[in-house]
Parts: sequence; structure tokens; C-alpha cells
Amino acid sequence: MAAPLLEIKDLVTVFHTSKGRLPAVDGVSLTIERGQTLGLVGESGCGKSVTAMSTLRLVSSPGRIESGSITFTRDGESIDLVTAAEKQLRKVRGGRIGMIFQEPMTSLNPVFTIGNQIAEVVQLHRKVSRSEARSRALEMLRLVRVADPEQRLDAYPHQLSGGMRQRVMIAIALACEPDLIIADEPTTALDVTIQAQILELLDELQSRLGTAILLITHDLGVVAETCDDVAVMYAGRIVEQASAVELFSHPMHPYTKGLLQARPNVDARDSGPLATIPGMVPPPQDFPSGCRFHPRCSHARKPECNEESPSLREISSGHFVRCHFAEEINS
Amino acid sequence: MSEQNHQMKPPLLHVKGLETHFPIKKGLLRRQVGSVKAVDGVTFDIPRGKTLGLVGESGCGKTTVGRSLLRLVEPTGGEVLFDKHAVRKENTRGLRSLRRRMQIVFQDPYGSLNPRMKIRSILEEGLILHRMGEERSRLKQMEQALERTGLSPTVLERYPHEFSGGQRQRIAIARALVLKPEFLVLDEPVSALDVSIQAQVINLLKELKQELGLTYLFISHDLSVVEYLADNVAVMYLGQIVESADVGQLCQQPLHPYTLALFSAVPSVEVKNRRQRIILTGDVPSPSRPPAGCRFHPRCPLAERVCREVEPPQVDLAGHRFHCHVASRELERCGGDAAETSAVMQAAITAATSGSTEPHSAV
Amino acid sequence: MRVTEETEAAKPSRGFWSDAWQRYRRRPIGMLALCFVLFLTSVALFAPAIAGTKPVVCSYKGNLYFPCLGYFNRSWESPIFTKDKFRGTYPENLKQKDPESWAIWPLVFQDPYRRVRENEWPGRRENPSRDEGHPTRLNLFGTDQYGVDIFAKMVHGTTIALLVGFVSMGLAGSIGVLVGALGGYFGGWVDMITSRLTEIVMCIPTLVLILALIAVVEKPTIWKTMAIIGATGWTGIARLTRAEFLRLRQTEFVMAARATGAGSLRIMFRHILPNALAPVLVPITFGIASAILVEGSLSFLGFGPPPPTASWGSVLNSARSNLQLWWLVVFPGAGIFLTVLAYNLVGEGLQEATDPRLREAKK
Repeated sequence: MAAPLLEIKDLVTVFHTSKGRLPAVDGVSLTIERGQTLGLVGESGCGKSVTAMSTLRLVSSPGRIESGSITFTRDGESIDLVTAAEKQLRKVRGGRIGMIFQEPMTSLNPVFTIGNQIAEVVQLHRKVSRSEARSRALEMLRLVRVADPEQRLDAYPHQLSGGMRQRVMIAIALACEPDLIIADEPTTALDVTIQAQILELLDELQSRLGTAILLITHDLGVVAETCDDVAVMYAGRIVEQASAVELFSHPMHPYTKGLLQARPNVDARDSGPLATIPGMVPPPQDFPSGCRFHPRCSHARKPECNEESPSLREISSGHFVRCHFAEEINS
Repeated sequence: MSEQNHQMKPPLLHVKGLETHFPIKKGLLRRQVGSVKAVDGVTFDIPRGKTLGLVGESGCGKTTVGRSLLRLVEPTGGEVLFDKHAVRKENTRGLRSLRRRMQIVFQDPYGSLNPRMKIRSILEEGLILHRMGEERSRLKQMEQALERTGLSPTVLERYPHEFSGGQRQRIAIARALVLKPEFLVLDEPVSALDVSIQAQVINLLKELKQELGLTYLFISHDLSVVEYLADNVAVMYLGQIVESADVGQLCQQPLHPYTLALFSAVPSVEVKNRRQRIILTGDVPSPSRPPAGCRFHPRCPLAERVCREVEPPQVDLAGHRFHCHVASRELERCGGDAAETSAVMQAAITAATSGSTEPHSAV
Repeated sequence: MRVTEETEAAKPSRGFWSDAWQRYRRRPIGMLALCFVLFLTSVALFAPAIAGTKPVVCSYKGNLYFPCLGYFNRSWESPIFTKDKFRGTYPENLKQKDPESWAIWPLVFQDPYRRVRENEWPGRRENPSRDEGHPTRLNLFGTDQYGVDIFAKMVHGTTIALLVGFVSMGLAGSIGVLVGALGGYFGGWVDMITSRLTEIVMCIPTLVLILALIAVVEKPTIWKTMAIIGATGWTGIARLTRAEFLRLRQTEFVMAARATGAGSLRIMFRHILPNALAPVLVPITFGIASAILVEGSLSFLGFGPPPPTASWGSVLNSARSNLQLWWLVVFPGAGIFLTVLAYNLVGEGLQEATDPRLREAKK
């Protein structure tokens, strides 16, 4: 069996601050196969973005990858992105792995035209002339279905709408035909109708180009509609992982269940108050002992939950849950 | 039935033809060269004790509507009647006393509390300004408001930065409640919060409404929240309300193409709730130069010639109001049956946007 | 059921300024500079007790007197000493006219305004002058060409240096904040007028204006110089305040205050100003440093306060014609340099302690 495209193993990323050593990501393992979409869901501060940044080793000081491995395999050749030389890593960034950020306004450089910015990425990773790079940029704008691509090539970021900018970001990410795109909340800043456009576009491009996507979001709906597999993060750890169909039809971890039940909709209207998860997401300096969810969990039992940290166990085929009592709760 | 009630009791808030235009000024002499028509002729009623959900995408003017009602931005036209007071005609003094009765909660729990003031000063300010009791009674009122929002009185001596987003939003709600208002404008109060915290605040808002008999204008871009909280829903597009109805009616039988697209675009976890996704082309045009005719026509998959030229009149189908040439024609053809019309509209749009009509399944 | 979110009530709440102080304290250079400024302030306050020829306290004919206050203000020196013809020489006269008398003397028996004569202090020779005036145990910083002690001049000049900084920047700060606040808050034509005014004042060269004033006014005093530095130095502060007010008036907490019923004045001074203060304080600190420099340059050019006033600049001025007397250059030069440096370092520390962007960058 061929190695997966990207395999993250026991990744630990810590921030050393005045508050001490903060493990923002604490033992995360993920696998992404070629052409697949993996959703990484969680609330703010759960470490999902840090995981994404760690993957490209873009975590800035005082953050540091402390341990773990990130194996990226292409054409039977594997490199560990954690230990790889900076030069090798630069080839991967933007070349083999593209990145899309949440805020399309600030992730585009305001003083360059968008044509320049797309062409720059192409020239960085391929030996092409300026005019070739420019025509590639034009091609990319067509690909992401920007209207009037010839004129837009010479437009500046501020002249474009939010949705348009996010299309440009996708064009930049795709310019070098990467094997993987890491999309960090790509539609959070956009309106629903624009979000629908962008998700549609990503989906279409993926099936056409066979790119794998690591989609990071807090929106369960987005994940349900676009992802093959889902991993739910809480307080620096993955608490549940399964295929999207399985996860949304049979959520097993109390946190995942709570998140799903907390979503308001018209059906829940007359059936009393929404189910809530009491308390709030703990910041890294206050991660509780044992199971990190136990102070907010209605199933928590002493002493197991607050003393012993549960492991991520396979409860049913392909469905991993980090809970001592997963079977019991779900029977 | 509801129509009858409507006739008997005047609504708490009556808004008619509300307009808020912001001038665009240019040059050395600051000459006005145009205007941003943020709100351009909005009409609605909110009966006492009810919640109107105002839905729309960013830039559609929903936030400006909320602020115009309280005259936090000055409306440039139209009429706002709050409990028989013409809000637009009040002088400074009258406005102040009205503002006690009409309060607002903002979206950003980080921006809406003054970072240099303790929670006590933040809550107390309104009480002092409106001369609501001596120091001891003020403290009592503040404690009551905090308790109602699920906070302990110890927060009074703290600063906003010591609280999480959800707690701050509770404080912002307490600030509004402490003045014992009758009407609350809730401007995206849960959009900045995480899902698990969002549910807590939504429950709180619902509970407060029942206990205190409050009337809400709930502004949001998140349809699922509006569906859950509102009694009536109005959908805004480019400064105008394109469709409004009671929540069940609007969710089950949307008639306006924009409403249909908006509902279909909301990603859903439940497979059964998933609709045929309608992908609109293009972006929302600038409100400084709204398109002629129906404002939605440049993005509408069903746009016809008449849509480009004539502004669609309002059609009122027993409280279900909408502005759309195509839908009103279809409604006539279907003999006034909203359910059937909605289905026809849905089918027509789906056909017009085919190519991207496959619903997204998670498989 | 309500979710009550208790916050840990253990550690006391810290406001913005105490928080900023905590951050400031962690910077050794900033603390050093602050200590130096505090040291200078105490030197200025206690100057007559540090260097002088008048007793700090003395008992004379059965009464207690504080003749040293005469250095601050002529009339604070009791008239009895004029009546008894002391002529400024105390040690001898005290003993002669009242053998019972006693006195506590300043740390250094030297006068900033005149040469100390032979045997004025029992057994001490006259101050050297000209080339012989290099620093000795008796004249720590040496003497000038007339034999006046430089140390005493420096100590008494501290008052002037600090006063120039505080008074002129106090004036500039008040004008700047007021003008900027008005323009930024009200906008429109108010902003137009204040902005143009700021631009006009910005074009006036301060130094030239002061020189012109000195040429016109009969008695140029240090106060008039301060007034001019202040009246022309507020433009930067005004622009900064305006920008801050423009930004802050858009914030939701200001909107919320208006919704509560607060009036313009209250919003400007209670809600916006405390938030705008930190960024405005920084240029004021830098302004103090530059005001001290302006005064130094003026005195050096000979346009400083008239002779009886001791200022660092005027010591430098006396060095102009006697460049071989190195101590006339080094000590006042170092004084000005260190003071300006200290203020700039304090300003920088303040900036880092209060600017959220710099704070984040450090994280």
C-alpha cells in the first residue's frame, strides 16, 4: 500500500510565554490521502489553526514544534517536514502544498497587482519566463472563474470584493498544481451566498485536479457538505475522527454531540431551550487534567475522567473516539 | 387571527419607508457627489412581545436599519413610530427618554464595552443618566440585571478584558437590561461567538424575552439562528426588504429568488435539510449605485426584461409580502397558492442554474 | 436553568494603567530613565537645599526662618534680613547680629548667581575665576569666568529645564487635545476649521517666532518663552488626538454609550478621551524633551532668560567665548543630553507599555 500524501504523527506544538509552556497542539495525528478532503473542526483556541501552520512549519516564535513527525510523500519520495531543511521546505510551501487563509484582504499584498502575485508564486517554483508566468496567472484566474480575467490581472486587491479576493487566493494556492491545499477558514469572512460559490469552486477544482484539501473550520455545516473525513479538535487534541457520514449520523464523543445539538434551527424552535455545553473552552494554560473535556461533560465520572487521559480508540470501524466511556454513552 | 390581533392592537414599533442615505463627499469643498443608499425604503411592524428577524448579507443595510431606529445614525426619510412616539421628530430630551426604552446589543463583544471602564461604570452610566435611583438602589438594579444574564455580582469590579466573548456579550445584554427597556435591537449578538457559547446566549435571549415580555429586532446573517428565535422574518437585499413573512411560512414557502438562494446556501449538517444548492453568480452591487428595476436582477437567475426596468411592487399574501415580478406572476398562475408557487420558483431557479445543481452529499 | 459563569475572584482586577505600569516596570532602561527624571524633579524641588548660600532653616532672634525659599521667589525670604542689612551674606551676619542663632546650611555652600567671597564661609577662600576655575572639591563642576559656581548654577537650572518642559507641554497638550478632540469628534465643518488651523500653526517656525518676540517685547522672561513653545507645539498632538477620536467615535462602545443616552461632552471626555490618552501621552513626553532642547538652544544663542536666572543653556552660552574652559561645556551639555535622553526613553517605554500592537508583537 502506498504511503498517504500527508501523515502527521503525534505533533506537539508549544508556545513558551510568560504564562509558561502552553501546548496549543498536543499529540495530534492525521492522515490525508491523495484527492481527499479532511475537515478539521473545533472552536476558537482548540489548536486547529496551529496544526495547519505547523504542517508548513510556519509557526512563529514563541511557538515551536516540540515533537512529532509530518511526512509528506510524493512520487514515492517522503520527506519529514519537521526536520527538513529550510530550502527543501520552501519548495513544498506554495509549490506542493498551497495555503488559503481566512482573511483574503490581509493575505494579499496591497501594493502588487493580483497578476503579479500569482505570477510570483509560479516563478518561485518553476523555471518560467515572466510572460509565461503571466499567462499562467491568467489561466488561473479563468480557472477560479473570475469575471474579466484580463482586466483583473492588473487590478489591485482593494479593487476586488471579498469573494473575488478569496478566488484570487485560491488561484495563488493552485498556481503550481499542488498536491495538497490547506484552507484555514476559507469562507468564514464571506457571506453565505459567496461562501456557497467558493465551496462549489473548491469542490469542482478538487474533482478536476485531484488535489487533497485540509479544510479547517468551525462551521460543522461546511464540513458536512464538503469533507470526506472529519477530525474534531478540543483543547489541543483530536477527540473524535471518522468519515463525515459516520460522524454526523453517529457522533460518539460528548463534545461532538454537544456541538451538534447546540446548533439552532427551526425544528428545535418549540422543543425548549437549545442544548448547551456549560462553561467555555479552556485556554492552554488552564487545560484540565485527565480528559480535557471532563469539566464540561455531563457524563464525566470520578476518578477516571479527571485523572486518566483517555486515548483515541477505534470504537467502530474507522471511527476513533477519545473517551473512556464511549461505548457506554452510545449504547 | 393574527391579522385581527394586528388590527386591534397597534404594533410597538411601526416603521414606514425608512431611508438612511450617507452622503459621499469629495474634493476640497466637500461637495456631495452622491449617496450610499444603505437603507432605501424599509417598512415593517413589530407587535409587542414578538421578534422580527432581519436577515441579509453584509452590506445589505440591516445594521443601519437597527441603528437608524434608535437614531444612532440619522435616518434621512421615512417614519418610525415607537409606542406612538414619532422617533424621528423627538428632540434631544425626548430621544433620551426613548432610548431608555429602546436598547441595543452589538455584534462585537470586544468592541462594545469600553476597555477603560469597570463593568460597574459601564452598567451604572445609563442608570445615572436616566436618574434611576440612588446609589444603593442602582447597585441592586445592576445586580439584578447581572443575575438575569447569568453573571455573578463580583464582575462589577472587573474590566472587560478579563472576560471571554460569551461573558462579554452577557455583560452587554445586562447593560441594555438594566434600563428596563421594552424593545431591544440585537445586532448580530451571537455571530462572534463559538457554537457552544452561541447556544448559551441564544437560550438566554429567548428566556429573557419570555420572562420580561421584551420585543426584539434580531439582526443576523445566520438564517439558522433567526429561524430559531424569530416570529417573523424579513429578508433584506441592497437596502430594501425583498420578502417578509412569519417564520414558518418563509422557511417552508419562500417565494423570492434571493430568499430561495439564501436558504439553499446555508450549509447544513442534516442530510434531510439539505436543499438543492442555488449558486448565485456575481457579487452584491454597491449601494451607492443600485441597479435599476429590481435590485436583485443582475444576480437573479430568473431575471426578465421587466425586472431590469420596473421596480417590482409589493405583493401581500395574507401577511406574506414580497417584491418580485416573476413570483407574483407565478402566484397568479397557481391561483394564490403559496406552497405551489414556492415549488414552481424553486424548480425554475434550479433549472436556470443547472450545472451546479447537485446537492453536496458528504459521501 | 441558567449557566452561571463564575470568574476566579482570587487576583485583583487590573485596569489599563496599572497593567501598563506592570509592563513598563519590566523594562530596565525605561525604569532607569524614569528614575533619572524623578531624580531631576527632586533636585529641582530641593535645589536651594542642595546648593546655596542661604540657610535652609535658621533661628534668628527667637524666630524660625527659611531664607532658602528666597531662591524660588524673592518675597518668600523674610524682610527682616533686608531690614537688618544682611546683603545676602548669612554666615557672618547671623553670628554677629544674634549670637544665639543657629542654622542648617545647604549641602553645598555655593551661590548660583554670584561669586562666593573670601571668608564668606569661615576659613574658605574666594571662588577662583577664569582659567583657575576648574573643578575642585569646593567647586565640584568648576566656576565660570566670573567665579560663579557651576554646580550651583546647574542645580538651580534644573528647575528651569523641567519647568520649560512641563509648562510648555502642559499648554501644548491641553490645546492639542482640545482642538483634536473637537475636530475628530464632531467632524464636518468643525473638523475643517480645526484642521486648517492646525496646518497654519504647523507652518510657523517656533524658533523664529520666539526670536521675533524677544526683539519686540521689552522684558523677555522665561514664561513668555514657555508660552510660545506651548502655543506652537500642539499641532502634532492635535493631529494624533483627532485621528484617535475619529477612530474611536466609530467604535461600538461609543455607539452603546449614545444608545444609553449619553451626550456629546460625556462621550468625548468619559468614553473616548481615556482611550485616546495613551497614544497622546507619548508625543507629549517626547515634546518635553524637545522643549528642553529649544530652551537650551535659545539660551546658548543668548536669547535665554535674562542673567539672574540660572539655566543650563546660559552656562553653555558663557562657554562660547571661553572654549578652553572645558567644564563650562561638559557639565551643562551632559545635563541637557541626559535629560533629553531620559525623557525620550520614558516616552518610548510608555509607548511600548501602552501600544497594543507593540505588545502583540512581543508575544
